[in-house]
Amino acid sequence: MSATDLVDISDPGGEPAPTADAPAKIAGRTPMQLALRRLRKDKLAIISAVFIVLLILVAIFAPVITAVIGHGPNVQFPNTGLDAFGTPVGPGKHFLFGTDELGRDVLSRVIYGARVSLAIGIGATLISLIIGMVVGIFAGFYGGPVDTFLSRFMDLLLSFPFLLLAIALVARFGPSFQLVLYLLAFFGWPAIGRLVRGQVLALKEREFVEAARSLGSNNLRIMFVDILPNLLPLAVVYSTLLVPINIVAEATLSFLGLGVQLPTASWGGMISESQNGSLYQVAWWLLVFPSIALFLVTLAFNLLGDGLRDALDPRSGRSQLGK
Amino acid sequence: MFSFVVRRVIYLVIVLLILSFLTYLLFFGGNPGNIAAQVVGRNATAAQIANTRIRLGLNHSLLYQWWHYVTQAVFHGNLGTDFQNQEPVITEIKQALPVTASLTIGGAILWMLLGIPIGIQSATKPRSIRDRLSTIFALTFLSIPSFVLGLVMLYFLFFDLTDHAHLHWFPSGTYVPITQNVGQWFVHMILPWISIALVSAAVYTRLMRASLLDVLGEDYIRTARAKGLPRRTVLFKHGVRAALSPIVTQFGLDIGTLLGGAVITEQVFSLQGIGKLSLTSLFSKNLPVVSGTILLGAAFIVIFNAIVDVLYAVLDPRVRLS
Amino acid sequence: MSTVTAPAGPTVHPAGDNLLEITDLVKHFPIKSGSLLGRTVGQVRAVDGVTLSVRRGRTLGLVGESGCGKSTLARVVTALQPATSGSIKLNGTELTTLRSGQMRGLRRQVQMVFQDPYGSLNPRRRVGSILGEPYAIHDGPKGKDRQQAVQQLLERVGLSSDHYNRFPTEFSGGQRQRLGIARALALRPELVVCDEPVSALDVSIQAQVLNLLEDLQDEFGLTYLFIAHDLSVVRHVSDEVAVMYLGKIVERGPVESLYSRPRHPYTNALLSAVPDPSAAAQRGTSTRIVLTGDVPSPAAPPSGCRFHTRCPKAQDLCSQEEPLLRPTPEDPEHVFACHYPVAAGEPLSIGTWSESAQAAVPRRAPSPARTSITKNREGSA
Repeated sequence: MSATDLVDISDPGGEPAPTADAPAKIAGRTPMQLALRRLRKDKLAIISAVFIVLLILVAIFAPVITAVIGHGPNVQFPNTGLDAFGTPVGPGKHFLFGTDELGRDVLSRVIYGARVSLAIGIGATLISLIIGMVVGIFAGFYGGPVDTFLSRFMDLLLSFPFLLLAIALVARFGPSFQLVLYLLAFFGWPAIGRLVRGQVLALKEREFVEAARSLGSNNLRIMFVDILPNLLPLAVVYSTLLVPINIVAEATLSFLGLGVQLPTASWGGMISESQNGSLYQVAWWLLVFPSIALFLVTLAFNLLGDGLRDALDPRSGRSQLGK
Repeated sequence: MFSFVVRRVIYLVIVLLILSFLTYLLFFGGNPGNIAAQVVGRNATAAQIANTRIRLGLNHSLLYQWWHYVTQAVFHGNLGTDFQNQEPVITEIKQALPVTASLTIGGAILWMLLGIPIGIQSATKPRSIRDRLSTIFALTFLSIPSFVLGLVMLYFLFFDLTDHAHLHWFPSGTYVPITQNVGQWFVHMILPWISIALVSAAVYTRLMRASLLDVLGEDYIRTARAKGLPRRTVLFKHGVRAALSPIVTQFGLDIGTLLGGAVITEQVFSLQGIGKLSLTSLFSKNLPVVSGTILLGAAFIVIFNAIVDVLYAVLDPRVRLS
Repeated sequence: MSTVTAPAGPTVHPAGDNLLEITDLVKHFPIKSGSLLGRTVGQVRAVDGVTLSVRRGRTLGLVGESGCGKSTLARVVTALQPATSGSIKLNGTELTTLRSGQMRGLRRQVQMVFQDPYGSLNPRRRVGSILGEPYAIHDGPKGKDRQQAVQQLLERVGLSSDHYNRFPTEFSGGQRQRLGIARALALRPELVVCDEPVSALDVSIQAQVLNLLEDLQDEFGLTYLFIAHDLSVVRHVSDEVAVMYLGKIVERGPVESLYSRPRHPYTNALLSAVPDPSAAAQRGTSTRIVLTGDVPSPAAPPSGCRFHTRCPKAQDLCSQEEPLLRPTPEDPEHVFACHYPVAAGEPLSIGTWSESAQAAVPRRAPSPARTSITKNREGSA
């Protein structure tokens, strides 16, 4: 009485003999490969990714580029950069983006502003990501009182008024680059934490977690070796969408005078300067160039994030409503 | 239901107390001598500073000071006195609040009218031309920081029109109280409203689209269609209604936040609202005003959170009240 | 063990040499109220006093409808869930009182093959990493040696060593279950708990996986606790079979005896559902007994005999007194728990359905026949 009896009854063809090339013929692809395939078709997302990479390079090599241009970001050119009445000169051969009220090169300042924007935008996102992932994993995995406590805490932070807290903290500690970084990191993580928690709640019920436990994995190993890799697509998408939020928030704080302080070049600070005494009415380039820079980098991250989300979750957008 | 509301109110009061304590700690928890010196001015003598310390109650323990502050605020509507012009903080807030409220409520109506229909359109025909257009609309305005949008609108619709074309379509710069002249109030608010609404409308479009797509993907939608209900009925009665709950949450949070100071828009359009008041006081180190406005803002957020919770319980029978 | 087809393991063990001994095992899950404090308002009695033993190198089949507690039993035996009370002895070592430090040793000896070949393999890890995991946890071979060990495992379960760098998503269901088996074998365990290992697979592939399990048992001298809801699958792999209903064993015995002379009405009902004419002929009847109604909630099991609410033979006694396991006269190894056991060739008819049985299921519209019977070949013996 062996199981071969069953074969005779019910297995005319059977499974294709598991040979080396069998899976290749089924054309199985890893989830990542499939996602990349879909992403490659999204032209806007690809253009955005290229733009972001170029901008990061520009930010890294800002000193080299401005050296080639010959105008440092904080160097004033009273003779060439200001006209006879002391007003800024517009875009031209000498100053591609014009000059500001102190005769500084707007192009150089926009290039240096990218450093601040990207450093804070990406830096704060990374910090938020790490905290959010760890807290979310713990809350979702342990559940019970741990989850209740952490979730309540995250809800509380999510309902914090961002600008009010920024004002309060600046009132106490004074404005600085670090304050903006920590503030944004602090405000970013609860949203990630909540998302991750939800995913972990579902993931921990999957059998592979039980399988890991039956092999003798401890909780830490299950959380960070088994569950964590399954969270990465979500983390990638959400981080890409958090960066532009942080960039805009940094610019807003700098615009309000709560962020990065002058003379450090930041886009928000430059726009704020252009508003001083309604200077931009006569020198539009002071408003337009940093605004365009801000708009383009934000749009690029948003488009890339949107494309990534569609690529990683093709299920989204399937309606049952019919015609 | 009643006990749920009572519990929610108790929770609200506790959160407000904690928040007020943290705010107080943050602002006045430092060196009392420093604060007194700031109040008196640069060239004050040591005796004057000491006097001021006593007058402001800075010699008492922080907890006592805080309790005094809270009881004064709750029972006498007293939030302290402006360091600079010695006016009660509450008077300044009373002057600023109608500005912020006008801005917030008008803006909110506008962004809901824009965001929700576009979101519904977009979700009912995913990947259609309309959906793509609405995605482009949403992503564009999501990517423009609201202060940039405000400044650009000021530049083109105000300066350009007024100075070059001499068209006074969109006046700006001042707030006309609604009690004084409704028409002027309305005209003066148009630019700020559009500025505050466009970015939010983008957010609500995305939120509505995602939420409705989620709902429309459910099997019960197919079941309702299979029963023979018309598409519109299913869309609105089963789809949109269920999809609105995350929108309601977000709306409550946004209104609460903005009532506490639409800082950016007020700054761009020089509207003397709560946010502008808070910001100017911050730069002139006028601590009682800053802490007063921040507490007010926090209170608005917490209260609107609670209202959303109660609304939820009323609207959605699935929410357990325990 | 007097079956004709005792598998010839590499080592011959004396009869009565039990690898696994389960005594009075109980697993209750508390039911928490929805409030914040979470008071316990009841117990789900998933496993409620089970005694079983598995001989070394043999296979015990455990059968029952879904929700009867068999999967919970598997999870308690593999220490994925702590037991509420009772004893589990492996090689004479008590497992229920082991501390977490000693548990690691146990993990090497007891492994599990899971039901869902899609859910039980982490979709984000490569085959090499999944199968290398047991070695990583238990200080096994490292680096090149580990890769070699994993590749040997792959080949042993009928896959190719080239599959080392693939993801689980690139495999078919049957191949994935082979991966699951390979993972369970990596630590060379003594006991493998198979939790419905083929029920998620196509029928055409089930046989291949079952054959693989049998081959591996012969090669490594494995002992299986084999769980299924399908009596035909269990019959082909088991030496002994236990039937479980609502957390209790209702009948247990050697395959031959149990399949040819089932005594408990529940076993009869399950067997009658097997579309196997030869088995029906052996049993002496081809009456198909269709159990209607749901399995009662294990949170509030029926009084007396737990099967009485669905039993065609239930009498008043059945709802009052719980029957104990007792041996059949023919074979002392074959035990059953029933006041009114089915005699050989006895047809189960509607008439024996008692009204008192329904009283135990309150607030339900009375149905005239909760057990309907379809006769195929009347009285064919």
